[in-house]
Amino acid sequence: MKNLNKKLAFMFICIILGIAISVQYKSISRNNRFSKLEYATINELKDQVINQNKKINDLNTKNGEISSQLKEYENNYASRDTVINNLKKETEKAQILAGLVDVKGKGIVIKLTNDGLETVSYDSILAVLNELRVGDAQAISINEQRIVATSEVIDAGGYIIINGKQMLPPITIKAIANPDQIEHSIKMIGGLMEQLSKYYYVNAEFSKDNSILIPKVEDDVIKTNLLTPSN
Amino acid sequence: LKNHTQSLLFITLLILGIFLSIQVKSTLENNQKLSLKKLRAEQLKTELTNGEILITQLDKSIAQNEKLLHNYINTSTNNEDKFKTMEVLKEVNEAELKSGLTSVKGPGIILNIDDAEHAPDENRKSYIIHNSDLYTLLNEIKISGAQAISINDERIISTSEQMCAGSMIKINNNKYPPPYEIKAIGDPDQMQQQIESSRIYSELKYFNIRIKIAQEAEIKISRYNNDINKLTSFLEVVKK
Repeated sequence: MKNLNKKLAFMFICIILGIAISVQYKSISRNNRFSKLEYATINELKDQVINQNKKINDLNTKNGEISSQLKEYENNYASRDTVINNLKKETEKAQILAGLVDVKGKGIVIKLTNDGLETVSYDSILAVLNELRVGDAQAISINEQRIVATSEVIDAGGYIIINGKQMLPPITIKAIANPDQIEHSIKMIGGLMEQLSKYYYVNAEFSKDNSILIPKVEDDVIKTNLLTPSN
Repeated sequence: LKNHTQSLLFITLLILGIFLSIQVKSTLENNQKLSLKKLRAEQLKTELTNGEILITQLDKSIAQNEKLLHNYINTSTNNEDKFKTMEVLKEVNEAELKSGLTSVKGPGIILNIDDAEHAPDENRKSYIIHNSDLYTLLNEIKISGAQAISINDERIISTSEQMCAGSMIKINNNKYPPPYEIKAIGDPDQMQQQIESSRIYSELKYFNIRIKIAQEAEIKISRYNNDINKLTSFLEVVKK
């Protein structure tokens, strides 16, 4: 009888011990997971704050430039001609970004062909475009069509349509950018050139060029009839 | 035998006691760490809200100053001058509207996209949003006739990239985690139809990526807000 009691007590303690261990284990793993999660959100928040500070800096610079210009004019230090000249400089930058003027500079050419097939896949062109933008390309054209903010790439089955124009291979993509930087990023292991042949089955030729000319966008490609300026 | 049982009992209780104290300590420590992290997160969130207010103020101030500048040019005495300045102003307004340097409003859609809630053990990577998903989706939006587009308030201009940056995507050189909010001004019906019938849309749906499209009578898309001098440094305009 006495023995049985002891055994029961012992069993009881063992059960409690087992439960305690499992609770302990569960709690620690949960806490770990939770703190990892929290850590990730804090990092994301930090990144957002960094983004925002960059934006605020840019805006501050811009605001400073405009207000100092304004002050000059108000105090009659600057003539109206200076105002107009400054404005023309701003206009030129905006026209470059919009694609409204011909531009030239150092850059690269990528020629896409696909022997045996009539066309090259539209998603290979999208991949090239994005990679060039990642490489800080400042102006891009595809078969002499200037790529603007709203330029689309349509897979029309057998041919490609860009800026409303039909295209067949070879597809020649030109970009004004730092040639060495672009070359490095697209020729690296697993980079764009490798992806083009491995995943998109497209032949790609790459060359650097010291003088690339990129034409302005054709009339009526950029539509703004639904846009109202607002501030 | 009695001694043996007692010592066994003693050891068991000792272990139990140690466990208990470790457990209490670990929980306390974790709670402390957690509340510190929560505090830090709160601080960062407040910082973000304040920054947002500052950005709105700066935006307004820039717009006001620009207007003043343009007014200044407009106050001219003779007609010939007036004509010339009107031309310049027209040109700058057109170029800024077409390049994405002007905030605009109009009818359109708001597309929200987020990673899948759960992923099975196979093809796990297909259940999160990749940069190629975003640029393929953007291409569909452009095909459907969008005239202005932004992702998380980053205006999409001719040079805008969507770069893979680990768990985030870099747009206009700024990193963003999911979810992504894509705004587009254009014909709402046409845009929704084009997107929903596209291959990329069915692919994303297949992998339980959460996409929602809402049509709006008027949405506002803010202008490109980063430094444009860096985007035009490498080229020159060909004068004719």
